[in-house]
Amino acid sequence: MKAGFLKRPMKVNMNMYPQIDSMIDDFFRKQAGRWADLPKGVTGRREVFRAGNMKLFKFDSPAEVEGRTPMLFVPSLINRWYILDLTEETSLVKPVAEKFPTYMIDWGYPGCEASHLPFEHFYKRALNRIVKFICRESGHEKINMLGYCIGGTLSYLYSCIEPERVNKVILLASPINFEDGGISGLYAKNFPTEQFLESMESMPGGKIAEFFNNIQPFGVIKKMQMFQKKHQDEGFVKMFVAMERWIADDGVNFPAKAYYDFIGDFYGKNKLAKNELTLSDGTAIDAARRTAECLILNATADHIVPVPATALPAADAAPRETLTYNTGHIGITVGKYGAEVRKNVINFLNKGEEGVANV
Amino acid sequence: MFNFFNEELMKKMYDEWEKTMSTHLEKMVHDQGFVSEMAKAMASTMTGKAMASKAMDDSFSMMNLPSRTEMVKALQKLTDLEERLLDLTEKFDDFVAETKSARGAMQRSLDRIEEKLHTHQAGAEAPEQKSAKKGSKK
Repeated sequence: MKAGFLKRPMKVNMNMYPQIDSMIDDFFRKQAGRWADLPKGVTGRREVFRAGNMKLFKFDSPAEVEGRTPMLFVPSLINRWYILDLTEETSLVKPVAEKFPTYMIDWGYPGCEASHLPFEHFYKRALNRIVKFICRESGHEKINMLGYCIGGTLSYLYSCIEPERVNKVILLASPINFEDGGISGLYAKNFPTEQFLESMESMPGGKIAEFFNNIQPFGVIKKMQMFQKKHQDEGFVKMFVAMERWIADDGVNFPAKAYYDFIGDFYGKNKLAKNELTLSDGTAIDAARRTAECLILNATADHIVPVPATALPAADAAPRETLTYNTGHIGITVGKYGAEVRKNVINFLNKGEEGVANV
Repeated sequence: MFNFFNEELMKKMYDEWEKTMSTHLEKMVHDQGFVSEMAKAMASTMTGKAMASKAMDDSFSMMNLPSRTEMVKALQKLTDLEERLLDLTEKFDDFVAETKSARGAMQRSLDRIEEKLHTHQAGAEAPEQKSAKKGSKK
């Protein structure tokens, strides 16, 4: 009887899957309560430029800020931009947009069509295109930039290539010196780059998210335990839902050639810190050419970009300021130190700017 | 009798287990040996995937059908074309802006020349008018 039961072919009704999906979705929506429909980015904005997968948003600002130096946010390539504008309480964009004309890049969801684009495409071609657009639109010759995570690496590289276009640059938990890249560095240095380039069109976003979960075993369980403890706190639930939704929005693939360059040249050979990086036309990227004043914001508990990895190259002689917070990679934007980070960012941007009060 | 299902005890046991497992796993994921073995496994999987993709491409080409690789290449070409187009648009915008500013500068210098000419003309006309007035008085 038993053997017969095992031999019986299992009947699976394929039509059931969409129903199961909608049931799961419904369950989570009910759990999220009124926060289920939280917008992706809370500050009012409009799309002002589009090129391929990439979009540029301009945030709503009061009319009197129009003459001030424009500010460009450069988010990471591996996740979505709205972590910097997650909720009203934690948004880094909102207070900046109240004082400066503010722009944000949305790198979009690159597919196989972008798999051949090198890392240089992002920090030279794409950024140059955007900065030129902003300069043309605003009538300024220079802009300020804030890069988060890999976005900071891109902004830093751009400030080396086009020093005359960057006024100030803020590096928020951004890797520059990959010598001591922490656990990300350990995995990156062992990563089979050649086989990867031969077989993959991109580094799937889901796999990157999986990696971040795996390097913190029990991280998900601890998160759930915390939710169980604090689920009656409205503010916590709102933040939890917003964060989880952002984390789950992980369809952001890293184009294969760009990933290959990033892992090989940056994590592998640490060319940026050694000042050995060159563009495809042979031009050297020299950190000594950089003139933009720099604010480095890093976190002691950041396991993705440890504090030593945020150090600038020795050749860089431009003025800089470093502020370290006792928090993590995401906590630096949305955690309890977020308010302090926002205050320091605005005060740094205010320096030398006419008619802008500190906070 | 000892209560094995005591909630407090179970909780304590779970906490201990979690702590031990967490320390152990944390050590494991940071271990160079584990990471390099994992990388080797990944490399073999990727090589396998590349071989499978190639076999699939070959079989499609034998049937005179476009393979995924060919379609991806076509998409990449489209991306390149789009990029070139954007570069050209950008260059054109730069050219327009430069032409505008050059035209503005030219206009300004023309205005200056015209102004100088007017002043010069006015200066030259003034003595002529004076002498004409003197002649009529005589």
